[in-house]
Amino acid sequence: MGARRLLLVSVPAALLASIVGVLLGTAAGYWGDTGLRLRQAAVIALLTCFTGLLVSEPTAVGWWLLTAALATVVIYSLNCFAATVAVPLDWLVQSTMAWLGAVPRLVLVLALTALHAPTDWWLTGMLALLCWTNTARLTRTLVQQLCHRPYVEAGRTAGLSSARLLWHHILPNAWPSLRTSLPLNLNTCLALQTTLAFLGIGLAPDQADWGATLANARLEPSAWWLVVSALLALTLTVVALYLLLPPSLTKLTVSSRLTSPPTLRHKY
Amino acid sequence: MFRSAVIGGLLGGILGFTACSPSAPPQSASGPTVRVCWPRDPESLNPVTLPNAYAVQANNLLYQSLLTVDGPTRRHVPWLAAVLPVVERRDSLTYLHYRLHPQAAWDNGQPIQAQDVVFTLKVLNCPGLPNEGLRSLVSFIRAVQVDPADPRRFTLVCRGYAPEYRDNSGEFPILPEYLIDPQARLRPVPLQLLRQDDSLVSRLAPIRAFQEEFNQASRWRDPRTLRGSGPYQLASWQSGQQLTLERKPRWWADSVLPRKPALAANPARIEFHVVPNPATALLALRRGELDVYPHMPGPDFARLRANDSTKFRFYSPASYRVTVLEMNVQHPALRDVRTRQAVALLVDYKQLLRATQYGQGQRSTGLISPREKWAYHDSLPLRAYSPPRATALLRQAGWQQTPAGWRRPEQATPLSLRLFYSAGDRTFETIALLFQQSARAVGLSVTLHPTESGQLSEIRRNGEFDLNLRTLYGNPFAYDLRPLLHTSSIGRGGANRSRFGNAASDHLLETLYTTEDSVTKKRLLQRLQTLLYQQVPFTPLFFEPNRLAVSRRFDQVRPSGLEPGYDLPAFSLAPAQP
Amino acid sequence: MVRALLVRTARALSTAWLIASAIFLLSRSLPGSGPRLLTDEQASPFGQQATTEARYQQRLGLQTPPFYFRLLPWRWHGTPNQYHSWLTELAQGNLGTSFRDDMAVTTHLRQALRLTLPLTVSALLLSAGAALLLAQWAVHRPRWYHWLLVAGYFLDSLPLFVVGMTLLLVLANPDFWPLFPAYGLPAAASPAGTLSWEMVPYLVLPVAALTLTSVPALFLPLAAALREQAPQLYVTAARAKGASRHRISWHHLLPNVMPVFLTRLADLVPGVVAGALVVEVVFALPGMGRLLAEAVAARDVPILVGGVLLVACVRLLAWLLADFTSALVDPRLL
Repeated sequence: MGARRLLLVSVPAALLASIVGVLLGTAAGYWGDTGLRLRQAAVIALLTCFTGLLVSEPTAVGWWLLTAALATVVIYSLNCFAATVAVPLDWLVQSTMAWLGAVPRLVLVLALTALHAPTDWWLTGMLALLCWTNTARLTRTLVQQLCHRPYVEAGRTAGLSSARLLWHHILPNAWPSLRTSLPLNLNTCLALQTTLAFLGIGLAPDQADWGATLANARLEPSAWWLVVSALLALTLTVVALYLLLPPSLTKLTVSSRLTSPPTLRHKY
Repeated sequence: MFRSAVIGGLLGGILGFTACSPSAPPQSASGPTVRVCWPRDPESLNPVTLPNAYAVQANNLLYQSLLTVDGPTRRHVPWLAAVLPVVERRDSLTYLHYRLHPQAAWDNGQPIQAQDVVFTLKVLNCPGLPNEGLRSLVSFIRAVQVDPADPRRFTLVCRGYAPEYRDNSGEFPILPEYLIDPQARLRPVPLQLLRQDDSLVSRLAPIRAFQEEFNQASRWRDPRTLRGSGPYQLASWQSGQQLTLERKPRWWADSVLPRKPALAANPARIEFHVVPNPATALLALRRGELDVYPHMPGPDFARLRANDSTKFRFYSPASYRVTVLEMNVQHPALRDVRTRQAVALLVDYKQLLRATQYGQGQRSTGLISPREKWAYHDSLPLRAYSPPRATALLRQAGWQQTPAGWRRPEQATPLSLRLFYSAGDRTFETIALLFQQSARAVGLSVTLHPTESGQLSEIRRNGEFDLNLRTLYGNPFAYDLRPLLHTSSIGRGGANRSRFGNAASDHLLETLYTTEDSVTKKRLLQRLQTLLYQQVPFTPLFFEPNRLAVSRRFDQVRPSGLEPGYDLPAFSLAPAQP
Repeated sequence: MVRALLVRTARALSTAWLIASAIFLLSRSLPGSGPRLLTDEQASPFGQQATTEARYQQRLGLQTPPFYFRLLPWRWHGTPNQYHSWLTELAQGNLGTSFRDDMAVTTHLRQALRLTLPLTVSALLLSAGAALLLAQWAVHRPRWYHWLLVAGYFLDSLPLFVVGMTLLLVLANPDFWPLFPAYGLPAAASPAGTLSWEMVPYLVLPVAALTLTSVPALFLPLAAALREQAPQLYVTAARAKGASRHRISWHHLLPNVMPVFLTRLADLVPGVVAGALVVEVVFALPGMGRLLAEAVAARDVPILVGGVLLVACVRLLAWLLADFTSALVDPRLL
């Protein structure tokens, strides 16, 4: 019981949260506040369109978005707008994470339900939105650490593209640490789901669900066997997820790891 | 070696601490200590704010009003007043003649006089204070006439006439002027001026000064200023944790003979412990760390009564709280009365009572408790669970049964009803699930929408629901049902959430309100009950019992169906059992 | 380094202000966002409800628009508005007063923190210590490591209230071992009073529940990172030079995985001030978690915004601190 919904909602949400977390964390750690640059004119055009969108009637939203897209394309196809400006990517990601972390869940969830009536897709999205931050923080730290390894710096000097560096050299080395933490996202998602179920959001009470079973345990402590079975099932799923994740991403890992001198700051 | 010594030391320390933690309350010579479980904090002890039932309960131990309710007899009895007021109707006004108790006195020895009642009404009407709730309650009192010959006699002058004026006029706490307004700033300001809804009033210098002084939050946590004529005084208040009240060493009613129940104050110390989690509260009760556990959840109550009846007494008097399944009368699908009747027939009342109330609770045909025999319309039959009749009624209302569900010929989608209720409430959830099942048995689809309570009240107010589970709080004194059922109470104007009503029902409610003659009143009440029974803006599910467990150490619990459900000041130690 | 620190601190503070502003505006735009005097269960005397509610809103200063302007479509409100008065008060170091009892928000926060801090700080220190010791112990024992991994995942899947209730029902139950008090604090612990040793037995079970549930989140990534470092060349080199296993673990391996550990630890730090709602409810402790949850339920915006501001500040500072400590271990990270 409840396994279907787990597969339909929580597992996709945990996966989505992991992917978003890894992507944003990698971006923030790799580019920092100065690494990513956009054309100045494009930034100005985007900001103008955004302001215009906010101050005009809701019906004009589409036009503003279209204008923004067109302006960006035009600016990037012409060479006269060469001046660039750094995007404070790290700051943006960190602020978003801080905001998500500081706002009480109830407020956020109420605001989101006001925007859209809860459905399965919406629930998956919301869980992912609330869960990605821990993964992103960890990834950011790992990537920052790895960025300064000599082999990455050597690769950069050799003119390797950012994508190649990230995909073939940085992520495989960060993977072993990430692998153990990613299954934890499932637990976080489920815990959140129980919170939401307690608020009556997301889980209809007529659908069997492990999250709901755990939430009900709060109200009926005498039904402990239900809780224990749900917990065991949950742990098995998490361990299975851990075992499903490959121990290493590529064969490259081994070679790069062996050639990577560690941070030698210790007196021998 | 060192490690194990440290661990051993830590463990020993912890066990040592545990050993010296208190397990039995100290008993003073003057009276017992009673420890009561509360699920939440009273939030404010300000006598004009009273935001919830717990604040009201604490307030009734600190302050006194003119009249009070005697729980077991369900009557208003004099408290600060010497006797019940004399009602006189002259022209379009009502005069309530009061006389204060001759021995009633403040803690500084000053007698309680009519002047204090005038002061209290001024405070309750003063703008800018957190008194909105009480202000609307006393808005019918237009003026106070103080008897020049006897400072304890006064007359409340009320607008119009209603039989409830007598009871309502005695329900606000009387405040001591010498503590709240020592500079007598409000004395020169007439009550009439304060009653005006004029923003200029709050700009007057004495009123602004008074507001500033009154609104200091710290003074409503200070035992020196939070003090009335009640038998108890504040000892300590740790928000969210514990509120402790102590018996005053000398209270004015100590010398009043003979002792009436309303003027009893036996416990020397009353502690209210805030324990939000029911399972923790149950554990604490069984460990003897709590003595009184009111409003117990049904399953806990049933289990404790089965296992631990030697240590506790159990009471479950029927309350005046009725849980109803409310229907949005203005919703297109529910506009036809036969559809609503069909929905009411799809509730399996007996099973529901078993599943949520564990055999307790009382069914009713309407909003009036069957305990109020004179008003209850007992010739109406209790609605029974009857799917065949529900199907027949749905057909009559123009719905056709299709494999997809019930559908009207002109409509593309089949009938689906949304049932809203407060999230996190186990009883409501069980009711909703059972109702959904029995509706599904006849092919009617019901979707459940547990909703956060703030959001839910907005939804109810705007009429954005189809069905909704709600608890209505009644009392045996007043039958003013206009806030619940009148058409002008729909939306922001009141609490009519089913949006029921028409000119005739409004007229019936208004006549009912002004009728004093009990025979006519009974007739009107029965007409109203019949109307509600036929029109089904809601179907009453059950009257909840007030489940209460009290340690056997105590006697004189005086349980009642009225809030708070027990009479704390009357508690006394039970004689030791052999 | 000092300049970078100052710049980052300033940026963190302005981010905290942005966060608080966002939550202020968000809480004003929620459905049913305004506090209500009368719930659905209470009714005012007939015909008085609208006036009563209006008076209540006016006393709380909610009759003015929430912000200087509205968007979608644009409309200018100007001053006075609720945000402006909040900001003016904030500039004077005043977080406002609670809607429910007129007490200053700072007083509420201070009282709640006085209880929450001993609870969460000790839980944090205990779990950090336990995770470090466990991870160091497990790194050389592959078989045990796998069992600990499963145990970690199991513990992590335990909801906090299950852990709390289990501890309560086993260690505070008259039917089993009533070793610890079931709830609350000693009667002598007043909000104005100082911390006393009498609190210790009351805090044992809550701290244990918090520690048990937060160890896996620290232990799992730390142990994985340690195991990843173990086969590296410098470890072999150190071992060849005759360094003891103990020395290798603490002096060579640990500094290299410190950033991972600190990051995870920094994620737990905001919980120190945000409180632990579930544990506070189960053990009837009046801490920050309950304060904020009740404020949200009652739509007590001043307390809500004050609490969020505090949590956001602590979170940003914890991250800042984690980044700098990592940079002290490895200066290239800044």
